[in-house]
Amino acid sequence: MDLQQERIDTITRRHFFKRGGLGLGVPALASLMGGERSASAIGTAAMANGLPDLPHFAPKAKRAIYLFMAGAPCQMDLLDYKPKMRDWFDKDLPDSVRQGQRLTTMTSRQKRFPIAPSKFEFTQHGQSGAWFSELLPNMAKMADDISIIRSIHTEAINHDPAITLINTGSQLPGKASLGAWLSYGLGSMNQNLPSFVVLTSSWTGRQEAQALYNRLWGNGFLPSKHQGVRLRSKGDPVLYLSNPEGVSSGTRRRMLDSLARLNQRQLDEVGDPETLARIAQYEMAFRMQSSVPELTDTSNEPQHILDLYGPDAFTPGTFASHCLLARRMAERDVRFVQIFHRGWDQHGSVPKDLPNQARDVDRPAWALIQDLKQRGMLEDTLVVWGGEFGRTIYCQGTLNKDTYGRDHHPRCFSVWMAGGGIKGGVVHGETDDFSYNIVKDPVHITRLNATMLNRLGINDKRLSFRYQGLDQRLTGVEETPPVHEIMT
Amino acid sequence: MFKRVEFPALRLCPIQLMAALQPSITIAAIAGSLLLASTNLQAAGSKVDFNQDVRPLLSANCFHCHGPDEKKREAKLRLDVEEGMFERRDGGAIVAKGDADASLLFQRLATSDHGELMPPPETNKKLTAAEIATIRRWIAEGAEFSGHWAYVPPKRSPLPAIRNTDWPRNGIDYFIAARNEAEGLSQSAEAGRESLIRRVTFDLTGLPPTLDEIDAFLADDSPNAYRRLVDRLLNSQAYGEHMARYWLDVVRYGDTHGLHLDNYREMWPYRDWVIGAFNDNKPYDEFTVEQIAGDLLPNPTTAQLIASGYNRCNVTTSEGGSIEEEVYVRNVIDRVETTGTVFMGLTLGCAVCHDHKFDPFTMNDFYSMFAYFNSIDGGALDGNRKDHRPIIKAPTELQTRDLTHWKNEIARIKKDLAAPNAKIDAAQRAWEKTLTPRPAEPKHDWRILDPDSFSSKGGADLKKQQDKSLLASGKNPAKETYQVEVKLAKGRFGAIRLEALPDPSHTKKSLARSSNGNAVLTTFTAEIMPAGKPDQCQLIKFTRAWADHEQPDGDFKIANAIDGRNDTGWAVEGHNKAERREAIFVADKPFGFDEGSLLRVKIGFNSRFAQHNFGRVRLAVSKAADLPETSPRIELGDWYSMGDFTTASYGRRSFNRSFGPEGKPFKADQKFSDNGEQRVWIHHPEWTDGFIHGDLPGNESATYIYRRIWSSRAQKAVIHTGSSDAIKVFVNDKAVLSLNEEREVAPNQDRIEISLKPGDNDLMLKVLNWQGDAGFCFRMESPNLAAPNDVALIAAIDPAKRKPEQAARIRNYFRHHASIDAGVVAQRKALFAAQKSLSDTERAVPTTLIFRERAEPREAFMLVRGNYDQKGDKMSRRTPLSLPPMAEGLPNDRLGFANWLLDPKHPLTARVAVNRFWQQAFGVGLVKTSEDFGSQGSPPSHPVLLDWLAVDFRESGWDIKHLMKQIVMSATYRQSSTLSAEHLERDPENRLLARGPRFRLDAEMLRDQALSASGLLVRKIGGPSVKPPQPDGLWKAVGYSGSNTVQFYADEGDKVFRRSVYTFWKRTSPPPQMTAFDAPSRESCAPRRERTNTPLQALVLLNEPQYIEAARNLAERVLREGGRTAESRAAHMFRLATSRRANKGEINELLAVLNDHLKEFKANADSAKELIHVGTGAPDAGVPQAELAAWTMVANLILNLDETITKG
Repeated sequence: MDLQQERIDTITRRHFFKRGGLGLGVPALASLMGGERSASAIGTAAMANGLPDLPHFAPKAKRAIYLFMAGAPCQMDLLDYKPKMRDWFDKDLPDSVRQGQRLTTMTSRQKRFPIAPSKFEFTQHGQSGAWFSELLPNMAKMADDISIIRSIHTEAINHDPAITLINTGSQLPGKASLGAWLSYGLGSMNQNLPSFVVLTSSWTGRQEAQALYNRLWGNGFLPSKHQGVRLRSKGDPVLYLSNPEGVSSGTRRRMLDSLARLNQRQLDEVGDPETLARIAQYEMAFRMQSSVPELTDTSNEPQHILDLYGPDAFTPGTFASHCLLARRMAERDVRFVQIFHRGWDQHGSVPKDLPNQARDVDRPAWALIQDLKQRGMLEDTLVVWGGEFGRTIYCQGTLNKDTYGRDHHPRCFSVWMAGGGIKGGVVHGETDDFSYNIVKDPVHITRLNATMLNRLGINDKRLSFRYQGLDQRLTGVEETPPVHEIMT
Repeated sequence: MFKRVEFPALRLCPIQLMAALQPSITIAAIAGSLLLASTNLQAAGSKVDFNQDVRPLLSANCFHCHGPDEKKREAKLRLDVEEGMFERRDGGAIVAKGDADASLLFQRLATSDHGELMPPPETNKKLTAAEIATIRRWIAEGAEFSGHWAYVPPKRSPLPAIRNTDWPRNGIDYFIAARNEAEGLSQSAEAGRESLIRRVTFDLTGLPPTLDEIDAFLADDSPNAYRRLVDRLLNSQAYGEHMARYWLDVVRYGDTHGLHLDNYREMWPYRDWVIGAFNDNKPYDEFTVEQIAGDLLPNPTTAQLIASGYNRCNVTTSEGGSIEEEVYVRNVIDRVETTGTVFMGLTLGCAVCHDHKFDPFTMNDFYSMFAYFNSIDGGALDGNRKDHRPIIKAPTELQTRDLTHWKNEIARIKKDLAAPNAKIDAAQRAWEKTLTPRPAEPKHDWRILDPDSFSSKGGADLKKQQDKSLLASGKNPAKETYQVEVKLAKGRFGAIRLEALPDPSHTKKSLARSSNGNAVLTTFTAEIMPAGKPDQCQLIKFTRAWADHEQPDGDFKIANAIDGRNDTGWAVEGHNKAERREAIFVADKPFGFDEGSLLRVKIGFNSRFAQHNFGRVRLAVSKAADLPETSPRIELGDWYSMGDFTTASYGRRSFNRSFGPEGKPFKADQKFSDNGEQRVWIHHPEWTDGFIHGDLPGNESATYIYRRIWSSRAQKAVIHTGSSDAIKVFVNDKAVLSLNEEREVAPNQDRIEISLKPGDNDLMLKVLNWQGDAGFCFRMESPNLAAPNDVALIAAIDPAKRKPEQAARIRNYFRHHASIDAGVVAQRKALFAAQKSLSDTERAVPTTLIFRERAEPREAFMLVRGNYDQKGDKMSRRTPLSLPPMAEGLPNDRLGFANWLLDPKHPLTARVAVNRFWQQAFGVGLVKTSEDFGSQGSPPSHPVLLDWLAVDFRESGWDIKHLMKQIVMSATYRQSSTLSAEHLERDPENRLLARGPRFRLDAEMLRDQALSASGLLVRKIGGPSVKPPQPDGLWKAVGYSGSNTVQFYADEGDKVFRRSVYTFWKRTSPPPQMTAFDAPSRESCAPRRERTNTPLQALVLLNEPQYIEAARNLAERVLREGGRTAESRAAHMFRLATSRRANKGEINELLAVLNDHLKEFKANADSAKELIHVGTGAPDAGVPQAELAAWTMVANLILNLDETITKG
């Protein structure tokens, strides 16, 4: 395939025969390297090869892309159409709807909870007649490609606990993230790139944005090689990827050859298989030095593809450029890509800030789906769009004809899924006229995660890791059936 | 009916049988690591051991439904206790000793009937044939049951008998050898001396040995050489730094709060305390007590209070919208869980929501422990501030000296300022003469007059009201005079009061019906005559007049009303103020007759302002002839300050946010709370106007500053303010300045004209400091400034008759505020400078979070499913029932709890501690799951050794250095780590220790080694955390825009080369050089690190600028001190990194690559130059660049050698 791979295969093959003298058979060593079945695969020991019993069943999706809207989008201004609210402008949210629901301390002291109907127009699209806000004109075009769930709910009411909960299954730090679980369970599908990549995009809505935390893509209790690798838009895409100033690839290659020979001496001397793994890791690092820049260099993308993603596709760090990168990673079989887009925390100025936020993501997300589809990759790539909770129908702060704000609302919000193993044109779940309570088909966030795992061939209850005396799982111990209604 | 099935193990082939003997280590092994092969921990040929082999199977598969959790217990069957295990039911026994086939347990595990099979297939749990075989064998061998090993107090067993009695060096070795002899594994030879010194130096100091140390050790051929080496290492300061690092992982120490804003938290004095504790070899029992309950010790020292910060290391938040109670509960749960893990190896987290499924801990146990840790004297939300209360100041020695110095200096200057000085005293006496005391407030006995007759000259309709006032209506003439007649009772009077009253019928509800509501009184005259004798009418001569307010924009004083002229008058500013006004007119002599009088008053409004007539008036007389002070006098009261109120949560929005006293009437003794902390007014009699007061506290803080200003009358004055940073000025609750700026304080930054009302006025400044020094400056400009009245009153007393405190007061006032003597002014400046230095030093003193108990313990409740808002029964403090009770006489608080942990009968504390120290040296604990000693944890590889060490540790007086020495002195530890084929096959994880430990160095050791070998390492102990460079944008990419750690600014100079234990730990984005090598985020308790091997690690070591800079410095070093030849230099470099001498082949390899690099860099001079300029320091200009670059690459290679990054 490529020269580097041949080189490592040759080196390692030669070393095996040498190791024979130590009485360590090739298959035995191979098994030490992580369950690979042939010696030629030793060179790829850098890859985490997943658990032997996985997948639990035939997966519908090989990989996933999660478009994460950090800060919590206003569901009733985007996907959860509430026409009756127009007559409720500035009227108080009935107690019969609120039902004593706890509020954040940002609005719990408000004297009134006046209804703020969405300012935005909604229209129906696709065969299902799904409603889309005018803020999502492109997403509307793919109504028949996606399943919208309008009845997701969570229990956390503030950002830090909520975003940690949906990404790691716990409100408190310390647990493994969704992507780390996938890397741990399914392993990597490629030799040159990490199996879990994270992108953090720029945004144009409210600039005072909620924080992200490394823990959202952290390994928690899992070995750290499963943590998400954040691909940066400035500087090295992967930390410390580039050789130091003045060191050419040739110089590095020469140094690594020498390093490998010296490490081989050490291996011969001491016999620690960890040394062999280390040799392989250095080779993988070297390969990444070319494979990652190749990945992030979009200069050879044809014009019609760049046009598809819109003008922002040229600007590093934008959501558009990240969607394009996500597609390139999907092509290269990166298992899981998660894009975090911040700025969705509209406590005030919804009419001013939300259109900007929506514009950031509407076209690129649509383009990503089209791009995957035209390459025949949508059928085995799972795509998810959503945030950590919803927002209130009642207004936070100033309410008038021109402006309103919305507080946090864990009881319902909307996400959509598409691609591998997901039906197109489905709208699942329903909220009341106030988008306040779920009236039909509630889906807890752990079931959203269970659905994602399921589409990737994982029974979420059987993917566990013993830590602190417990079989830790992403979705906890309660029953969390996947959402069959949206699954093919 | 149970179906009888044939036992599958009978048909197992020998290999399967081998597998069948493998106990649970497979389950506990970290899947996904490179070493998948499991270790057979069960000694060959011995009996199946219940705790070792059977309990883990039952725990993993059965306890969930047949274990400690009463609510989930199926069929009332309990398998974790002896009674349940051997219970008889359905005519059979759950377990029939010796007869597996007759045991229901076995039958249900082995049945092929899906309806009968246990665990039920739908649970996804399944025992392997091998595991079932183990259980069968255990029953067949007699089914000996024992309680979970970890809950039985450890006993010291005698050393086991072994065959190779020459090998052991101490007790440890007997246990290791006994096991290996039984296994047929032979111990490895002792490691070479170079390996040994490298290994032990790393394990006791976290650093590599220097070449001098290696040479000294190699040259020391006495039998005590190694012991001496160990003693030297144990006594080095680096020992404490290294040992502390592990502890900081366990207690989740970080330099930020960890949640949401993840702002800076000042906690490093605690880190330094830990380092000091290890270096002082503080016994583990004291170490434990001081951390859990240092604050409850009698008269705790500062150090003991700092230690109690252990309880404060948990992550905290102040996210907007957070519910205090919810966060509070989370904080306490974190403390309890962590304490359970750190000291007892327990996973109590499960019991937050339900009784533990696997270990004998109930929810009741959990919330009873909760009650020990819930009574913190401070709020749950951290306010995003570095010093989230309760805190303590922890000055360094130097700071303590400075504080004393400045306090003494201030006292000295104050004394000097007060010293006898005839010249100044003379000036004071001259000044005293200029002071006049404020007249006493008059005691008027106003009698409202009830008019007998009244008329309007202008033709208005006057009607008497219930309150005896006269209200005008009807015609509103341009000019007007009211005439009022009223009978006076007998007696003499001194003054007449005219009240002008607002009325709803007036323009703007003010004082008149004029176009704007204003009025101008031009004349006020009065005549008096004896009752019934109009012929004896006399004009009353008014000599003085006073008004409560005079319109300020012209000549509108009250005196104009008695000057007999119509073109001057008293205007009341009724167009701006719809307020009652009063004027008092004092007669030159008492008026009135013995027989009673008739008074006639004429009130004239004849100015050029049409219709400016009071619309409602009322008259009164008083006997007293006094007026309130009439001279235009202003007196400034003393300053008070209150703060600081934290503003971090609100950022710049706090400018418009009211904290504590804002908008409330001033009361000197009023208290407010901020973030759970009390705020009181602090009196500052020493603050002198015109000087900068730079001693306001805090960053991201608001401070309120108050003084009362007394004014004799309504008047204007000018004030000048200065502030750092933003400022608001309120006069009588009205904002007169709002300046939301960032600036350094200076005098006279703002000039504000203010209006004072008669009497007391409130001046309040709100100073908001964003960062840096907070401060303010104030000066008033007015010709009417007078000394405070109390001073003026003293001045009126003959100096000889003044009481001492009076003399001191006036002298102090004069010297601190009034004297213009050059010497005194200089002293005042010196005093201010000293006060500023003191306050600067005080502010530089680090604070650190501590635990402090509330006066009244906070109540604790059972929380249903762990939900803060679902309170169950009230809980009282007690220790878990399944562990030995707390000894009599211990206080039932955290102090008692800490002592309970150290009770000799406590089965866990010593074992857990010993195991973790063992893990440091050998890479894996005797109990691999060092965080979990419960039944789901892995059983110990050498249970008897663990107990022996635990008891020995306790009996040694919890002597940590003794334990570490014991470990590293053992023959076990000193073995060569070379792996044989047999090792790899039979014990790849080295649990049996037939060879020495070998594993990759931790992140911190790797970096410290590179800095040390290159000579860059700066050895300074303690102090604030430091920030070595890291790639741009890492914090920004995740941080909240308002966080004070959203921007990373690297340190410079020595700070970037400190040991990694001092590296600043931002918990939501920890240093990437550390996390790449498995360092935890420090968000939660991490008693052990995974040890992975990834390409990202290779990238760090190959390319990270500090590693490159270290490589260049290593190159420069060997060029300097490595001899003349390339061979000697390569050899020197190799030895500096690996601690051993390279062999010929290795040298040749290095020389070959050196030559290649030399060629490359000679051909490309720019590349060479670029490479050697990586990092913060400059390269040695004396070395040719290509040569230095080539050597730098060789050094980079050597620092990446497997051997260099491994402890072998």
